[in-house]
Amino acid sequence: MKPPRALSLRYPFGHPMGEAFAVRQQRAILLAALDALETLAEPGAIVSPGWVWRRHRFD
Amino acid sequence: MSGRLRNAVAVQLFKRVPWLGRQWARRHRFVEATAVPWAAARKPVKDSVVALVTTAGVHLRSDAPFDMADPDGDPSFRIIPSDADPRRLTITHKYYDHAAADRDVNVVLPIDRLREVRDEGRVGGIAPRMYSFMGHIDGRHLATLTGQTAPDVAQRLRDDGAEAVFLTPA
Repeated sequence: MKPPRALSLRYPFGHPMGEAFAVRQQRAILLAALDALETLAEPGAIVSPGWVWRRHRFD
Repeated sequence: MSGRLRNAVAVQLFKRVPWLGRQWARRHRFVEATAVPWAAARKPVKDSVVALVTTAGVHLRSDAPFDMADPDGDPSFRIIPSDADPRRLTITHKYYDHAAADRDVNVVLPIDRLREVRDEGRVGGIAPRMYSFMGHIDGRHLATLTGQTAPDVAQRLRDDGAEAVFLTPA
């Protein structure tokens, strides 16, 4: 698959937005993706924030 | 072993032992795109209409579920009004563990989060409809997806006035 642009998270399959009811986490993922829409100018570019599943604190 | 039984056993193994699923994915020959589809963002996100598309098998409870009996999956899609109450949604997709998404659909379809950032002025608007596929599509259904249903959704998104699409895979 070659998406135009992507945000890549090493999260368990089936959790593209993170954990249930983790509003700050889901919000951070959405905002990071929307930011990538504006900042990535290279076709196929992928952003990897490096957030670790259930360890990263979304303040 | 019949195809359906073999499929059912594989599904349960992959869901319960994620390592097996990763091993399968390394060896499976997925369809490979020859080029990156690209459309540059024409204006800031705060002025853009954003649509949600998912392959997580989400649909209105009142809609027909995706076909789980066919080992090659289901290439059709479901339309969800963007103002739908998340409690009216359900998931039909046996190829991933959606226990978390069953409790909070925002795990796979972040409609509440998108409404919040729209209300804050961070996105210009939300397209009137969301589109949902079921992400297990193989065999003969691949041609239907790439030749019919995916282009159909792309055209519908244009007709809806969507200027950006956020796709969540599952």
